[in-house]
Amino acid sequence: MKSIKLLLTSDLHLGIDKPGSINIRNERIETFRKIMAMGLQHDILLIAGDLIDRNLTEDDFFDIAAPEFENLKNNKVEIFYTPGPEELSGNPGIIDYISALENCHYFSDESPAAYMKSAKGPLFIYGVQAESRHAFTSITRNSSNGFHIGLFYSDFNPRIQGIFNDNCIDKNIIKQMNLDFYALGRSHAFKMFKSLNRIIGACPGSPEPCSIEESGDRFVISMEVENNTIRNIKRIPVNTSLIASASIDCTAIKDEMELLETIKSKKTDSGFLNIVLNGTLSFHITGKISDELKGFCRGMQIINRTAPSLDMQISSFSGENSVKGEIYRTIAAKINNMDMPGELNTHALARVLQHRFSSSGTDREVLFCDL
Amino acid sequence: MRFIKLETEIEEFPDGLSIEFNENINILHIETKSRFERIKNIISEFSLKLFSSEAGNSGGVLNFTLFASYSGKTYILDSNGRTTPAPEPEGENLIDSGSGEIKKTPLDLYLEKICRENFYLFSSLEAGEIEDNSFQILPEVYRNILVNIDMLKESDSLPDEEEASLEKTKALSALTKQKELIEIKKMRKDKLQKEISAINRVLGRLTKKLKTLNDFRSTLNNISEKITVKNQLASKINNSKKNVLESRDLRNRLNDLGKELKAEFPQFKNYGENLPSLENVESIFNDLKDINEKIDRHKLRTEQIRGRSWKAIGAINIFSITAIIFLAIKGANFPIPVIAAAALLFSGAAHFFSSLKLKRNDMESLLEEKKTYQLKLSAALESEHFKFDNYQTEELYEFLLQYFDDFIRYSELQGEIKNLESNISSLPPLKETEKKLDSRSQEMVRIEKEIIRKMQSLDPEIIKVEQEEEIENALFEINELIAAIEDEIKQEDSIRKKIENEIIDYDRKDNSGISYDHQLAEITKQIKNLEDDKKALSFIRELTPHASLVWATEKLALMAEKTWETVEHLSEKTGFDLPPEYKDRIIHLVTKGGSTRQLKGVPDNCIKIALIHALEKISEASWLMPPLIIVLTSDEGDNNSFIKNVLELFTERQVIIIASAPIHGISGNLISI
Repeated sequence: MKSIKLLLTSDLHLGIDKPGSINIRNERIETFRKIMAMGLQHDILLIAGDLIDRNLTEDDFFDIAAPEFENLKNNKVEIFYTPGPEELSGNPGIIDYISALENCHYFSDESPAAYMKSAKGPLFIYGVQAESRHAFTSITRNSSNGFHIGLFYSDFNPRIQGIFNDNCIDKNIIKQMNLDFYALGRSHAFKMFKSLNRIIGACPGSPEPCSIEESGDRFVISMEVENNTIRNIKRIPVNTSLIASASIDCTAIKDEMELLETIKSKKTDSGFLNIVLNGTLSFHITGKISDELKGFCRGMQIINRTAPSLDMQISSFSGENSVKGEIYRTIAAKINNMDMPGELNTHALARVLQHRFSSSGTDREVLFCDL
Repeated sequence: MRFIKLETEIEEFPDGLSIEFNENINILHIETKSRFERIKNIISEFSLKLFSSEAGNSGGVLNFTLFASYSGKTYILDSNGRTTPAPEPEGENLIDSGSGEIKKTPLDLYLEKICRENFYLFSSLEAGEIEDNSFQILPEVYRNILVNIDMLKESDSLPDEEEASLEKTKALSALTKQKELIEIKKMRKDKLQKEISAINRVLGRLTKKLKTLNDFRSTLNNISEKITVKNQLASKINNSKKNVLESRDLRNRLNDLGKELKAEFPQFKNYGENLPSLENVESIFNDLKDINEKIDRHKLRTEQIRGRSWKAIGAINIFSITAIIFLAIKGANFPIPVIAAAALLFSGAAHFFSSLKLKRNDMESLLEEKKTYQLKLSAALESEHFKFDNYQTEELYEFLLQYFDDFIRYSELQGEIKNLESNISSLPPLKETEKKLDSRSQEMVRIEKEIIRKMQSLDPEIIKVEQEEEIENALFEINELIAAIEDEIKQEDSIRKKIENEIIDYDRKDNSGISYDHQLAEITKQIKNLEDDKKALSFIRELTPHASLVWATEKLALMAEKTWETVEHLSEKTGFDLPPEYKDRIIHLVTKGGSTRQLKGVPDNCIKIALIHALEKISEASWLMPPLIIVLTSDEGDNNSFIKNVLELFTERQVIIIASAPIHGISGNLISI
């Protein structure tokens, strides 16, 4: 069997325009073109959903996306497409202008097919559109000799079973489908799934960040199938924009100004910055940080995961008429009497108390967001 | 907490029963005894479900579904005592991603904390339920409930220190394993790096050795170059010596020739540089010699021609006579006079021909020419100041011939002298050559010394070189040694690169791009944090009971006061006698515990209701209180006034009254079954 080269991508959300999504329209278009150019180096392009976002206008689709698909068609690259929710019109069915692309093999409820065979060799691709009427359980491997790939817009967890969630392929479904490889979309983070030292699935994640949380390089997956085995699988970074992430331990920071300077020092050329504040905080954060940082970067988010210092917590809560207040009063008394255990770390105590009494229970707060 | 709806399918209600409750007062009026009993059982059953710490043990007899709201959400409590959100919120994942177990709902946590065993402390049931019309008041239970309600006020997802500690232990265990794994990886990498260090040491040694060998070779090359220079110098010295000798020879020869010229050709000594130009004389003399030779040749030829013509005429005449005689003897009639005439004619022709030939080499013209040249020669000799007045022509010829021979010899010697002088002038000056020879000899000595010094500096342990002749072989040998070391270095370097690639692959597999030391430091930090957290958790766990006790004891005292106030209030309303010392008794009973049997004359329901009311008021969290359930098993007349008094106390709480007889004067959600 001649080796067949496949490129897997998903979740680019070309045209995304939602609150909280970062504004990188041009970068996203550039990355889309990059992926399509890489597609030319492969025999098959697998799209595991949400490549196009429903907010992409029809004009933009024909200006930006359609010519690239046409180019792949002219170069005899096969395209298998499992639409994600963003590519569905809600009728249900795929958005008309997307489904009008001639050279794509869609998995759609409108023309359901359990699997399709590639013209490039003994390669069988299985899929169901997102939000399909047909469950994953309707899919089973056919008896033909060849390599069988599932192309799904779905989560994947080969370790657990019996999930009451239509969006997750679990151990039972994997057993029942019995496919050689699962090419997956939906998750925006790169993932590779192994079982018995064999790669059984992969999720490329979003090739461009869709939210400020999606930091670091973003990938597509390139692989080669030969003699019904994956010979070579690698992730290739394709992102044009980059969200830098940084973590700041606030324990040693004295005041808000110092924190502000520390945050500013984390600025990178990428233009986008996602900062997580950790440790304990011995001062109050006012609106000054937000005022100073507005417009500082192209996009910025600060997550506060700090716990107020023990002194601050005692000062805030020891007056309360509650068990919590009594606990803080007891701790304050122990501190005053120098009766605290020697091995006790006050930062850890502050952290644990904060977690113990945090009303949300998540210890996470968006301190600043400027997108 | 509120009840919303109760659904059940039992024998008494073949079409199914659905009871919807409102948020305030609900009155279930059930006249049929069997139905009343069944509903009472159901209420008891689901209450038991709520009370029981092991939900479901008594389940299965009665099937029901209770819809309840808690913390703004609706839950379903089924016959097995399990709660589930209802309806199930879209997308909410009930499976814990870590363990795969079904998550507990906030209602589960709530029931666990306050209701399972102590529901009766919040709700009032039928009076006959309690044996001997008395019950035990347990202060620690109330303290516990007060604390738990206070905690629930903080958050509807109560953190469990034990669970948190367990989670930390699990995380610690995972981190410890991860740390061990990284340590193994680090050890492997360290091993590889040690191998690289060992190779680097070998490479260092080899490189040092290579340098020594290269230095050795460089010295050998230097010696070899010096030997070449020495040889070139020796050749130059020889040449210089030759030049000196040649120069000396040439000068000697020049002296000899000068002497010979002076001795043998004194006649030319005065000519010096102004020797007469004998070229013209010589040319004329040579021409004259040529003419004489021509005259001689002419004379010889004339004689030859005359001899031949006379021989031809004689032969013709002999032939003619012979022919005449022959003819005469033979008597032939051939006319003899003709033959004689022919012979005469041929003889005449032969004579004419020879005369003609002789005439062409005219002797006279030659003699004339000779005369002319003799005159020219005389003129030339005169012009060159030769005096030959008394010389005969032949003597003159002899003189000239001798003169010319001497002159030729003289010229040859002069030429040789000139050549010698030219050769001598082309050679460097002798003194200079001798000086050069001297300096080259000194240089030679210096180079030889240098060669000896360098040869002595060669390390005999590498290659023993004693003679200059051994240098070439030594160079060959050292090149071989260097090539061998270079091969060894290449080999070691390739091994090093291989290991380096292995390390790179190793790091790539790790995929984090962070050094193991950094990862270990990070994990160690996390482990330290977790350990600190565990200690902190342990500290809080130890500290919380004490703090809770302090706080709850204070609250319980308030609750005791409130209970007394409510009992007093109810006694006033209902008119039963309340002895004054009962205040202390009630306060003591609530704070220290004991049986209500001690409060003779005070109805148990009154104490219970007072406790429930005090708990609600002191905890200041009516929204957390379960519905007040009152089962009226009798149709006694005082029920109505009791219920009225109770309802006045619980204005912020859901009340469910189950009665077999009509209750008058109370408005609410009346449900007749």
